[in-house]
Amino acid sequence: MSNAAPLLDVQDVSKIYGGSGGLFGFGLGSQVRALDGVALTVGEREIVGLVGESGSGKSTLGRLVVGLERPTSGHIILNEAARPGPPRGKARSLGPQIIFQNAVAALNPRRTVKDAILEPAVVHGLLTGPADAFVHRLMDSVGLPASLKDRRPHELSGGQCQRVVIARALAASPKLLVCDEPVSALDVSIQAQVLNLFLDLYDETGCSYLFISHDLPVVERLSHRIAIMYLGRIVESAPTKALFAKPLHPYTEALIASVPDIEQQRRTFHPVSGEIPSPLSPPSGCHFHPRCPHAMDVCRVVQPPLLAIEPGHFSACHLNTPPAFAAAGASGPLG
Amino acid sequence: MTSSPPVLEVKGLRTEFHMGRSRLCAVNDVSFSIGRGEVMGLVGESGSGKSVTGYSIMGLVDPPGHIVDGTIRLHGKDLRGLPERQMNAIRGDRVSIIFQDPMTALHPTLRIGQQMIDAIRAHRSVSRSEAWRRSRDMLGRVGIPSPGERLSAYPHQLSGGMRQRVCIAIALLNDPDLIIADEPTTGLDVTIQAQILAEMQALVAARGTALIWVTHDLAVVANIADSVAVMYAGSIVERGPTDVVLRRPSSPYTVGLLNSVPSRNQGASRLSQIPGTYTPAVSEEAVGCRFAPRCPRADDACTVFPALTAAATGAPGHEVRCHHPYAAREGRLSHV
Repeated sequence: MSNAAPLLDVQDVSKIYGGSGGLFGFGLGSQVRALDGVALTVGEREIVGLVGESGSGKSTLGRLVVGLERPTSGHIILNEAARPGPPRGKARSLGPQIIFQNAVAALNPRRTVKDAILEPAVVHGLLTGPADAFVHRLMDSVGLPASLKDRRPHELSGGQCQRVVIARALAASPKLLVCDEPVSALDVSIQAQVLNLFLDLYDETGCSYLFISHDLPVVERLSHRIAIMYLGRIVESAPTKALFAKPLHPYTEALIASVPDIEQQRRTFHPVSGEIPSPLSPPSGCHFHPRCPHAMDVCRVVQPPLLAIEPGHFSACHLNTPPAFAAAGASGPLG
Repeated sequence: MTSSPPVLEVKGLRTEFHMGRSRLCAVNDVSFSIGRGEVMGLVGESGSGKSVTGYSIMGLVDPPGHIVDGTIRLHGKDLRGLPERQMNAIRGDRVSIIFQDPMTALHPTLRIGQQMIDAIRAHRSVSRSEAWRRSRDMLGRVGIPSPGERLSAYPHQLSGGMRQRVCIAIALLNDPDLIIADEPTTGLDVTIQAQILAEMQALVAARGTALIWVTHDLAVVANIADSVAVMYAGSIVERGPTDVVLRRPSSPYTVGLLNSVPSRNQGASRLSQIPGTYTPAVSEEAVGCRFAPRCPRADDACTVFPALTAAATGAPGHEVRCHHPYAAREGRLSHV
């Protein structure tokens, strides 16, 4: 959050799948633009929430950030601290790590907890002391009793498996942790435990998070800043408080209004109409215009740019009028 | 909660799964009743027995599962032990169920229209064209655009939200007295969930259908249910009018569950959490309160399985299964 280069700087990144003929000529010419000119930063010690519904491209962005896939265009820049250290150096970072939604599937069913946690450290030469001490320290930091170290995934609960996956990610001492729906599959009481673990680890390790979720209350609880995605584009990004106090984009408004509120009793829903369009043939202009209650003619034709409407609060909507300072070149979501 | 006779009355329901020598009790002493037009939320975490309760009512528990005790009365008639033929006549007609995953609930190789027409003609002697007309009208009513064309579509040609709407339409086709909705919006995006909640609210209100909404999501229950029953490890631990249970909870489990909801914890440095892990499968020999190992109020008394008793709030129908329930004031949730 300082003026130094952000930990992660995603610059105008697009990712296109398909389109090059496809297997045996199937799907010829059909392209999915999973990400379309996405810009996002994550600062040091910052938790950024990335929220969107299915098909919004939020997971694709997470995969690009950890290098599981390459962007079709644009740049993903990690600053010095977040980049992988020199090979074979001791106690180096391996760069950003990722935690997936399905922890049970992310673990090898035949390998023990100890093996799972130890493997990245052994493969990349990160081990700084005795293996047992290394495993115990990591298990302790995620709240797993050391007695579980010889268990296999099927002998653990879903919450415990998620803790193992988190410990394994921490073994690479990342500065940036990409969490892709890490608590979606967990029950409410277990979800609270794992969210607390994320908060504790943030305090202890000073690690930044890119926290991907469809669950607005979870992200609100955790993040300093939130970016809202819709069909491959970021439509709004703002500090968490500002986003909920004054959502600027109609989609953000609709999203907030759709979340059932436990404090409210017996309410009538006024849902936004329509479905999320297929990413194979996204609507022209602003992707949200077919469902937007305020859609105008211009929305069908021109894609609204993501502009700073207020300091630190960006929105991509023709209804938002950027103040004068935006005209002076302050566009794009600077950290 | 209503003075008219209840649509469904479940008393002392016990459903066990016999696995080899061990017997796992998935549903234990579950009782509730639901009146016309009433919406009841059945809330619990995975393995709490909320779905098995729904399946037991529908007569869908297959071996190794057995309903070993209790009565399930629909308009006073006990469904338990009813011959399969009579049960088939009731299922899909007087009582219908909506499952969580519409893709497995719908037949993948039959057109939507065929599946809907079959559902009508299994219970009503109407012509195909009349059944087709009713199906089209029902698709329109659950918010599917151009319903006439959708009738000739296959399930895979529809989106997840549309498929779930088709399942809801099928459940409503024969104007049932009771619908059991088993987490019907869990797999859907939040804007689509809001649409379906709105439609279900309107549909049951217009027809006076009783609705049991099985879910793990307390916020959904807060928004659509008149009454709520909270399940833990096979038993109802607390039940009552939704606003009373959610605002003045009495059972330590309900209090813990409500406090773990992220939106209730804004501003606090950590979320409040229930300690320990949840062990869903309860062997027959288990004694005492199932929540005791995780409960901050547990003591020696909790080695005896508690009965459902009136809660301290005195609200009509507010009951709790606990030896040390929170008093009317204590249970009130403080907002941090």
